[in-house]
Amino acid sequence: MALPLRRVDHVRWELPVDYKRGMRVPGLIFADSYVLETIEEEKAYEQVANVAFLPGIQRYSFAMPDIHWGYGFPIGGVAAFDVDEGVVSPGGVGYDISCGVRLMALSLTEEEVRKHLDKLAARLFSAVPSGVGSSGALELSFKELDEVLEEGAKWAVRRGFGTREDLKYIEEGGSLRGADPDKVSRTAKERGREQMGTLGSGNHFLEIQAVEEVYDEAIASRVGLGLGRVAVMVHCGSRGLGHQVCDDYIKVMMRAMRKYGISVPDRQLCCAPVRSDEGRDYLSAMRAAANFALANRQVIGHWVRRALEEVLGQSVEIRLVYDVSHNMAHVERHELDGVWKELCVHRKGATRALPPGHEGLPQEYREIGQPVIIPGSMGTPSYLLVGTKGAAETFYSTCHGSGRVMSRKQAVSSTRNKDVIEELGKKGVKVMVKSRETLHEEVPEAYKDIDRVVEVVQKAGISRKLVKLRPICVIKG
Amino acid sequence: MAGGYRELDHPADIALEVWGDDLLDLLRSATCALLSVWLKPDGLEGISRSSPRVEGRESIEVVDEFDLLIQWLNRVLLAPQLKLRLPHHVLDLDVRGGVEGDFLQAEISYEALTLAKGSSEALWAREIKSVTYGGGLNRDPSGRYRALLILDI
Repeated sequence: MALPLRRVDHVRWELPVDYKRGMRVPGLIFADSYVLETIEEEKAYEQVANVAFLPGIQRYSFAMPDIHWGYGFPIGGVAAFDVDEGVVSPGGVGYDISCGVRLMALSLTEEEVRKHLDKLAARLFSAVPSGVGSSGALELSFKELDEVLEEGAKWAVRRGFGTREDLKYIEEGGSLRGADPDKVSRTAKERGREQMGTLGSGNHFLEIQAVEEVYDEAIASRVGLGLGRVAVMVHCGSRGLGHQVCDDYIKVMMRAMRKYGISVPDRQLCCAPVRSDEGRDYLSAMRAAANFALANRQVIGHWVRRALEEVLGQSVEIRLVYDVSHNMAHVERHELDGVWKELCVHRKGATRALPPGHEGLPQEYREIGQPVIIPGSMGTPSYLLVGTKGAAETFYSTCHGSGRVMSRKQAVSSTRNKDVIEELGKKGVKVMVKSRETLHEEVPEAYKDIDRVVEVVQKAGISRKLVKLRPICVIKG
Repeated sequence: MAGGYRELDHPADIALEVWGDDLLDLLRSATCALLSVWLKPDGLEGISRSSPRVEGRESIEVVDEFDLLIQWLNRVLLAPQLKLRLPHHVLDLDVRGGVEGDFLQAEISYEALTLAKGSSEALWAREIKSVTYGGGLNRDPSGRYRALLILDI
């Protein structure tokens, strides 16, 4: 079956606005031939089309090359809505609000770290709680949790987890303004208060990585990631709290749609006008959940640092390169046809990628552009990209990872007789995982080829490669 | 109970098909289906033998029957953490309203197993974050209920 897409260029494919009656804008999918094959199987373009139904959507319903089937919005979806005429939708952010990635650079080489790898892996595995139902070393009172929801990573620094210097290298300075703990339900708070400092399970991880390729030596050196240097990457989000916020507001939005006379082709696209009470409440709660995630990664980052210093020595330098979400909605100003507008930009499984010169960047990155961290999956490479001016097209958005190509059942059944840990060990990757089920579900072949995904965004000019990172130790729940 | 369930393949999460003769039967099948993928193989049997049983009641306002199913299952998911209990069987269901576009009011009574704090972590085969609205519910020509559930893991 031919895909209903019109080729714009070798990496841009348009889903025409008349593909489905009710679409307000066309879809635009970033893909090469390899990505198109995966899209065809899943028909994720149907979700791209559905998003285009939403009121106030601007320019395109975008999909990044790691697109795959999600809840309402596709994962890898980007959609921006005029704040006066448009809507906000929890489905456009995702259940795991502010799921994101933190990257830290070490002043050591792979060779130096490998001498201590077993001890380091064991120490990290015990230092950072992970796995099913994991609760952390921090149990917060409701009052403390409210502080987390308001302050984000700033709360963590105030409590002694990391330093003020870290905050410069976290998006939004580590704390989203406009967060309101009162808009987060008691149930969400109950779920979150024992989960501060936990990694979770599934595709979340903590990895020690080595820089395998460098595409821009000057910038790579500036951020501490020269060839052969070691980094630590943490991938996790807002845990049960964020999930509950999404769940709570899906219910709110389903009711709000009746009130505002909005109809959508998929219930999971439920939404409300950005300026409505429901829209404002959701954004306030979403920001609070995002602050939880930012604090969570700051706490985990602090424990990682401590573990590294204990094993590798106090003289090891560990700098935070950046920390950024890939499930979020931000209200931002963008130029459309010569007019500056305030837009609510939804990025679900997509990363904001601010260009060089943007005022939202720390001074150290104003010349370079925003670091964009693209985590791979267990045993596969990850990438560090930077934002480009070319991404104005996508409201400064790019991909977030690789996306699954195999179901969990298929992954488990096709690797049941494999010793995954041994196989990865032969490739130089030490794996420590709490759940054997997760181990099989998360095998590298279950995911898209991340090299191909990143190549598409590079060719499209919406971000550019800085370094490629190869895992040397993976810790999962 | 004439209902049942089976696990389907899903690209990223878990999909369950559940069915029942009526809405109560469907809720019972769906509860069993959820527990079957959430608990370790002998999990339910193990805690059944040792845990006291209690009865409980949930009142839920919903937009339609699918919303009822999803909201109930999410309450089952949260009950161990929030109430130290595991609802495992739906006893009765009463649904009212839905006239002239009003929301439905549902009362669900259930039996649950009580859990000791910290004991339940050994029960779970996986972390299920939410039962989503990704599936759907319909009735076949004979009036039987059939639903597709997608669980976010």
